[in-house]
Amino acid sequence: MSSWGSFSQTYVNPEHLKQAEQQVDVFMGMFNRIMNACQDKCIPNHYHEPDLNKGEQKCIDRCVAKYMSIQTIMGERMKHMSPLAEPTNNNNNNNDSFSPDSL
Amino acid sequence: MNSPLGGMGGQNKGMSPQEQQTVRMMQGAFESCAVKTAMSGVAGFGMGAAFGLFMSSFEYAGPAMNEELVKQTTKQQIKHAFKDMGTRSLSMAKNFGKVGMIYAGSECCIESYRAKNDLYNSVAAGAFTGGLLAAKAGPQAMLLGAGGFAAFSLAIDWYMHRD
Repeated sequence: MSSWGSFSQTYVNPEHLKQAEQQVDVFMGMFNRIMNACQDKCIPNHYHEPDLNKGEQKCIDRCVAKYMSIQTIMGERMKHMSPLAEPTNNNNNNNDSFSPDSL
Repeated sequence: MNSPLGGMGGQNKGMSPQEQQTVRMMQGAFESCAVKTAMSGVAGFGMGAAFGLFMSSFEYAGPAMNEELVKQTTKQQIKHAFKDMGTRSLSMAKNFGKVGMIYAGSECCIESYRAKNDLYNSVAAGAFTGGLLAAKAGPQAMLLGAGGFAAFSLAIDWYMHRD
């Protein structure tokens, strides 16, 4: 991190830049969706203190673990259903459009 | 929850990533159930010692003194008084420490299991502690102890968390 002070004039491949931007978009989209879903389920609206207490921490752990496992399972299913789809990034994009409703 | 990186970033900006990770691990360890139980036990021990000291000092202030105790010198009386205060405050400290540990441990475990934070945790933990403490005196005393301790802990928790 200390070498980020000087921005040198090295050439950056625009392909890689586009891929990196896509990955950041996918990640941030998933992060925001996880946060919205788990905040609705786990964190009640009346705040007593600024820190997360034990119950909320456990709830968030379980919520994120379930979301990630469901995403993995859906990824496997999508792969079988559409064999012509591109790997990794586009699969994640397809899965993210099936965000789970509140149960 | 607007910015995803909000929260605790304010204090920790001066540290390297490893130090931040260490700090976070320490804070996580301090919030674990085992450490909470141990700290509650230590706090209960201290409070019980102070309480025992306070309560045992009443015995030597009143008029009910032993016959042979009066015959001894003042120094021996003081030594005897201190030894008695020590044993009594130690027994009260152990009792309070045990109660605190059982209550804190059960409440932390129940809250971890339910993954919710409301008043039912303290009611259940109080019922468990009361039942456990009165277990030797039969089922009726166990029920009464559980109910009483649960009501007491519910009242205290409600009072501390009302807005």
